[in-house]
Order: sequence, then structure tokens, then C-alpha cells
Amino acid sequence: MILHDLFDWTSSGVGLTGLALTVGALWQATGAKRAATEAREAVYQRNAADALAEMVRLAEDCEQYLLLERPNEAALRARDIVSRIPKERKRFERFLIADSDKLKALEIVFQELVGQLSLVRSLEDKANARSTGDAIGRAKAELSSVHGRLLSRVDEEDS
Amino acid sequence: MSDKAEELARQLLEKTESGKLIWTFVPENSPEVYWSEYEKFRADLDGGFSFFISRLANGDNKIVEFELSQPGRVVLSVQANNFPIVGGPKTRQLLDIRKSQRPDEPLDAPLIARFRLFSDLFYAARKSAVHEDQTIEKVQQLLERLG
Repeated sequence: MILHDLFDWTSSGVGLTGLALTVGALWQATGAKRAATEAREAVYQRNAADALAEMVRLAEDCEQYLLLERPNEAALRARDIVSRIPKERKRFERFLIADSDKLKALEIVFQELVGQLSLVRSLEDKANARSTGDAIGRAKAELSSVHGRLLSRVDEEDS
Repeated sequence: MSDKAEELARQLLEKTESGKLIWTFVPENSPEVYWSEYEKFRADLDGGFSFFISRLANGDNKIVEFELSQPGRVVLSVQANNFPIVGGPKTRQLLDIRKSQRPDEPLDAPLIARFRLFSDLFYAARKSAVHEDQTIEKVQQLLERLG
């Protein structure tokens, strides 16, 4: 009789320990999944910031090539930005939030700049070259501020 | 030497844009520039001093030369070009480090500034030469009169 009771208690104990271990493992797995999701989000945000940094660099090159009277190369950079903006907007839409619309507006600005840069002869006029250079400078500053806001969000997440 | 040339070029640009200095076209037919686009302009000052500004272009590559001369010798001769910095990944890496240290200053700012100055002077000289020289218009009028 005593032996039978002992056997029952032991089974119950083993059962309870198993249950506790399962709950613990489940809790840990949930935590690990959350951590993995957060890490993935952080990587996505970094990638978004890197993509913006690359576009800012292209805009800087564009500005410099215009000063050096190499409009074909400047137009190539502007065209590169135009083709990148829709892709990056779609890819990182949830991180860009309101800046997504700003990027859309910048896409139009750079599209117009491609047109201006293809008018090579008109850029020989000092006033035309200056106004095109100013437009590139403003667009570059806008891109740079979008990049800055994205970086500040990344820093907030990190801290 | 190049600082003095830049200072002179700056003054010449100002005088040319305000119409106080007149430039004339200088024909150049040497074989060296046969396959290139070459233009040269000249402005004369009292005392036999002359300034020359010329541009040699091959596609997008341009070399602008600024010269001061007096009879028998060239006093100053400075060039500026629009060749971009080229290099491999190592150069790019070094340039990125330099850029991160001084973000507001373009890598080749002095070179770009000199090219811009000489190029602006070149366009101003060309404009002055074309606007001031009425020969082509006169010849056209004479041809029209011939009937």
C-alpha cells in the first residue's frame, strides 16, 4: 500500500516537473523569438539608413560633377537616384513613415534635374549652371535630412 | 605662382563681366589640337601685356589654360582641369576617412575652385569676343546687299 502511494506521488512529481520545464522552455522560446524579431528589425533599419547614405553620396557626386562641367556623369548619378528611390521606398516603407512622401517628391526633383543636366550647352551659361547646382544642393540637403531622421530613429531603438 | 594667377583671373573675370575688358578670338590650327575642340581668346593691356585663356576639350575632359605674357616671354602659365579623382577601393577607403574627418570640405575643393574660376573666365572671354566682334554681322549685311 505504502509502496503504491509512493509510486503515485513520484509519478505526479515527474509530471509536474515536466510541465514546469515545458512552460519554461516555451517562455524562453517566446523571448528568443522576440529578440530575433527585434534584431531583424534593427538590421532592416540599418539597411534603410545605409541605402539613404548611398543616395546622399550619389547626390554629392552629382553636385561635384556639375561643378567640374561633367554633366553626363552628373546626369548618370541623378538617374541612379531616380531609379533607387521607388525601390527603397517600397522596401523600407514602415521605417520611413512620413519621409516616404518626401522621397517621392525628391524623385520628381531628380527626374527634372536629369532633364536639365542633359541640356549640356545651356549649362555653359553661368546663371543656368548655378540654378541647377542650387537645385541639386537643396535636393541633397533634403535627402541628408531624411537620412539623419532615420539614423536618429535607429539610435533611439538602440538606446 | 598659381595663387597669383588665380588673383589675376578673378580680377579679369570681374572686368570682363562688367564689359571693361574686351577679348578677341585667337585662331589655332596646330596639329596638336587637330582632334580636339580648342578655343583661345586674348585680351591686351597697355605696356604690351597680354592675357590668354584657352580651353582644350576632348569629350567631357577639359583643360583650361591661363597665361600672361609680354613681348618675347611668357610671364605666367597655369592650367586647371576637370578630371575627377579616380582610384581603386583602397583610394576610396582613404578618401572616405578624409571625408569623415572634414565632412564640409570637398576632397579636391581647391582644384575645383581653380577650374571653376578659369572656366568662368573662359566663358566670359568667349561671350565678350562674340558680342564685341561684329564682323560676321557686317559680312552678312554685305552679302545681303549683293542680292
